Amino acid sequence: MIIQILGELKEEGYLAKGRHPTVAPFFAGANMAIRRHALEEIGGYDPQCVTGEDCDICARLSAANWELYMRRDSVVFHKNPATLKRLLQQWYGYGRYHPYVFAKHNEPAVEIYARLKRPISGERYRCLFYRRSPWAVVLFLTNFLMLHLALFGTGVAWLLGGSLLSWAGLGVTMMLAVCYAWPDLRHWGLRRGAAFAGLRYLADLALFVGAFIGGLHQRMLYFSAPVD
Amino acid sequence: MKKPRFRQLLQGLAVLTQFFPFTWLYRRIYALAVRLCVRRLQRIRGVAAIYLRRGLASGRPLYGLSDIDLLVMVDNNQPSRVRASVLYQYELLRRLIPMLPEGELALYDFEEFRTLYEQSPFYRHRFEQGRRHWQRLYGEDIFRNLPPPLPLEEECCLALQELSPAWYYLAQELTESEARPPFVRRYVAYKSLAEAARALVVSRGEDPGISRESALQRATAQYPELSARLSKVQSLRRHLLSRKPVPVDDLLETFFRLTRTALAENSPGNGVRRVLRLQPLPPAVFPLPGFAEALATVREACAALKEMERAVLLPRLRFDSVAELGMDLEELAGATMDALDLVVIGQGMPPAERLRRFNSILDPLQPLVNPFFCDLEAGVAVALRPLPGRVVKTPAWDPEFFACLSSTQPLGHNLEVAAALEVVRPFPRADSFDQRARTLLALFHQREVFQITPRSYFTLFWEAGRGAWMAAQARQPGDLDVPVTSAQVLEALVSLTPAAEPTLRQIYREYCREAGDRPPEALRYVNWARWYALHLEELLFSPGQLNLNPPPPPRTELSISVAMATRNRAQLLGTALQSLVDQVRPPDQVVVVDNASGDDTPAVALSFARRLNLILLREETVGIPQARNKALKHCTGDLVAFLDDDCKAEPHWLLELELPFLKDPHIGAVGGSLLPLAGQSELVAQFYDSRMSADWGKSRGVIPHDHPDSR
Repeated sequence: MIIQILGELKEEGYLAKGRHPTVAPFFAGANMAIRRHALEEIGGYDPQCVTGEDCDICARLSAANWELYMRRDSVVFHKNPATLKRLLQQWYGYGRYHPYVFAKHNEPAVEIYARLKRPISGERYRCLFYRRSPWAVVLFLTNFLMLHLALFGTGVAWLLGGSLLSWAGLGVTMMLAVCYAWPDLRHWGLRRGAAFAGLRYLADLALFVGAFIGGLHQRMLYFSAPVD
Repeated sequence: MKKPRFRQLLQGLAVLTQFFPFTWLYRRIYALAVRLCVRRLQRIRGVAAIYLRRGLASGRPLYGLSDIDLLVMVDNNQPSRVRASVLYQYELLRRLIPMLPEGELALYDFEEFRTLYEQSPFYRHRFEQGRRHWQRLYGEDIFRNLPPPLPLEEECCLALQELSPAWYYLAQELTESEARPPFVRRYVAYKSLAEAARALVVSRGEDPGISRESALQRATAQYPELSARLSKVQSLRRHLLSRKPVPVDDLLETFFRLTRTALAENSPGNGVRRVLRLQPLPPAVFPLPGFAEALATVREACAALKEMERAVLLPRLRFDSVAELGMDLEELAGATMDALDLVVIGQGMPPAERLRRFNSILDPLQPLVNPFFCDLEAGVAVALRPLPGRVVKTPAWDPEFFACLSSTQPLGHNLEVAAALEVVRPFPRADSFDQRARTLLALFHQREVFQITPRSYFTLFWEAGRGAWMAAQARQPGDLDVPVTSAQVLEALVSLTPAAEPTLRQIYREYCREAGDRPPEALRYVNWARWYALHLEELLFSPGQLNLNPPPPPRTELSISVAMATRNRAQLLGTALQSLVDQVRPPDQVVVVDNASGDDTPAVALSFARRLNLILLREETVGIPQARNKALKHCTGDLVAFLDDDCKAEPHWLLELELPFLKDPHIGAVGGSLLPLAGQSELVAQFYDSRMSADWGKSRGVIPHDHPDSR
C-alpha cells in the first residue's frame, strides 16, 4: 500500500490482488469513485487516517472481496504545491501517517523489504525477512537508506580515526549518491538533473523523517521507502 | 529489448559448445536450476506436487535451447491464493533463471486436472504422455486419482492429436514478425517434423514412449518414399550451426506428406451422430465488421498467392471447443468468435516466401479471418496462422469443414462463400450439447469472465447462446438447426425467449457497435448479457417450474454523487466546481463539505447551486476522512466520486469513471489518472512536470502516468 508506487498504475484494468495488503497496488484518492453500498459496508473512511486514506480504503475494499479497477481515460488535473516549503510540508504529511496505515493492516513484526527493479503483478517491494515480534521494525532497503547508512558509517570511521576506512566509506557514499541521482541525471542532463535530484532528495528526506516520527507514535521503528 | 538479446547470446554460446566438458557443465547447471525452483516452490503452503514436463523429462534435451517446463499441482482449498503465490515465486525465479519460459507454467488443482482429463481428448493424451514421461520432483503422485491408463489402441488414435502442436512449431516459419537466430529456427523446425514423425509411428502401433530420434529412424525405415526427406530433417539437428538457410519449402512439403500418410491410415473416432443443418450465410451482411474492406484485403492477399485455385470463406464452427480448450476464457473466446476460416485450395504447398507475404497482408484481420491451406485430394488442411486449438483438419475429424467446401456460392473473382448445408457429425457423448451449454453458461457466474476484453466477452455470450439453443433443440429428436453468425444466434434466442426480445436486440446493437470500434458505450450492456445468460441457464437446467418471465434487466445508468472536501481554497474550489458543470455526463448530486474554512468558501459553493444539484455541509473537525465521511452520509447516488478541491476534472471524467461499474458488478472502486495542471511555472511545479515528462518518455501509453504523490 504505502510502499506501492502510483506510477505503476498507468495500465488500464483490474488491480492485481496483492498477496498482502502492505504491498498491494492502490490508486489515488483525489480521483476515484466508489460504490456507495461498498463504502458503507466497510464503514466509510477511517477518521484516524489523515493522509494515506486511499491506501487504507483500497486495502479494505479488496479485503471485502471487491474488485478495484484502474480507468486511465478518466482524467483529473491536479495543482502541485508551488513553493519548496509547501512541498516539504506535503511530503512530511504523507510520511507521517504511513506507519499508521501500515500498522493497521499488519501485525507487529520485524520486516525488511527490498525494491524490485521491475514490479511483479504490481508489487514493487519484496519481503526479504519477516518475523513476528513485539518489537515492530520496518526497513525498506532503498538507495536512499543505503546512502545514509554509508554516510553514517563513514562518519563513525572518521571519528574513530580509521582514515583508510573512512576514505573507502566516502567512496561508497559517493557511488550510492550517483546511483540515487542517476535517473534524473540521465533524463535531464547534468545541471537540471542535479537540481531535480536535490529536490527529490529533500522531498524524500521530509517523507523519511515524517514516517520515522509517525512510526514512533505507533511504537515501531519505521524506515520508510521514498515515494518515487 | 535487452533481455531476449542476452538470452540469445547465452543460447548461442551453449550451442557452440555442445561437447564433453561443457555438456557436463550444462547438465549440472540445469539440475541446479531445477533444484532451486523446487526448493522455492515446495515451500509455498498448498502446493501438492511439482513435476518436470516435456523436453527435459523425456528424450535428450539440447542444453541451452531446452526450456525447463514445470507443472505445479495445488490443493483444492483456497486455490486462488496459492496460485497467486506460485505465480509470484515463478516470476521471481524467472528473473534468475533464463531457462524458465514465460507463461508456460502449468498450474492445476486436482479437480481441474481430473475434469480436463475426462472431458478433453487433447488433455487426456497429454496427461497419458505425462504418466510415462514426466518426472516427479516433489509431492504426491498426481496420476493416482485418474482413471487407469488407456488401452494401447485408443492411445494410438489419440497420438494423431500431436500433429497440431507439431504444426504449430513449423508454422512459425510462415510469419515475418520475429528475428530468431538461425540455430533456433533449425532446432524448432527439426522438433516439429520429429514430433510429426513420432505421431505417425505411434499411430501405427509403436510404443508411445519412443524418443524423437528413434521415431524419425523408424519412420525412415517404414516409409522408404519419405526417407530422403527425413534424412534432411535429421541433418538439421546434426548441423545446427550450419550457415545454410533453413529449407522451409522442403520442410513444409515433408510435413504435408507425413500428415497425409498419418491421416489416411486412421479412422475417425466413434460417437453419437447427429445431423446438423447449418443456416445459410448471407454474403452481404457478414458477421465481420467492415466486411467490404475486409473482403478487399482478402482479395489482395489471394492475389499474392499464385498457386491458389480458389478460396472459400466459411464460418468457424467449433462445437467441442469448451472441452478441447479446457475452459480457458481467452482462448475460448478467440476460438469461437464471429470469425471466418479462409480456405485456400491448391495443389501442393506454395513457397514459404509467398505464404509469408499472404499472412502479412491478412495480419490486420487477425483473429477474425484465419487462413488455411487445403489440399482437397489429400483431404488435409493446415492453418497458415494457427490459433491454439486444432490446426490440422481432416474430413474425418471436421466433416462440416469439408462439407462447407463442397457447397459454395461465388463471391466474385475466385473467392467463394460457404452456403447452407447439412452435415452428419459425431459427438463424443450423448449429453454433449447439454454439457457444453451448461459449461458455457456457468462461465457467466465467474468473476474472471468480466476481466476479459469486451469483444471476447460478447463472443462468449453468442457462443453460449448458440450452445443453449442447440441444447434446447437436442432434447427433441430430429435435425439440429445451427445458427452460424451472431445475428442468427440472436434470432434463435428471440424465438426461445420472446419475453427478452428487446434486451437481446439491445445487446446485439451494443455488440455491433463495439465490433465497429466505438468502445465506451460497449461496456454498458455487458451486464445485461450476463443477466440474460443466467436466465437462460435457469430456463434450461433448473428442475421443476420454469420461470418464463425474466426479471427486469439491470439499469444501464448509475446515479453519481460527487463528494468534495474543501478548506480555505475558495478560488480553486470555483475552478473545480466549474469543471463539474462542464461534465459531459453531469453528476446527479454534488456534496461540498466545508471543512472549517475561514474564507468565503460557502459563498463560492452556493454560487453554483443553480447549475448543480448541490448540498453544502460544514464539518468542524479538520481532516479529509472526517469531511468525506460527513459527505457520505448525505450522498444518495449509487456511486460516490471523490474529487479534491485543488483539482480540475476533464469533461469526460465522470463518464469514463462510470463505465467500469456498469460492466462488472464486482467492481467496488474505480480510480483514474492524475495529471499536473497546465501553466504552473514555479520551481517545484517545474520539478513535478519534469519528472512526469521523464516518465512520459518511458511509458508506452498515450497518457502519461500518475503523479507520484497524487492524493
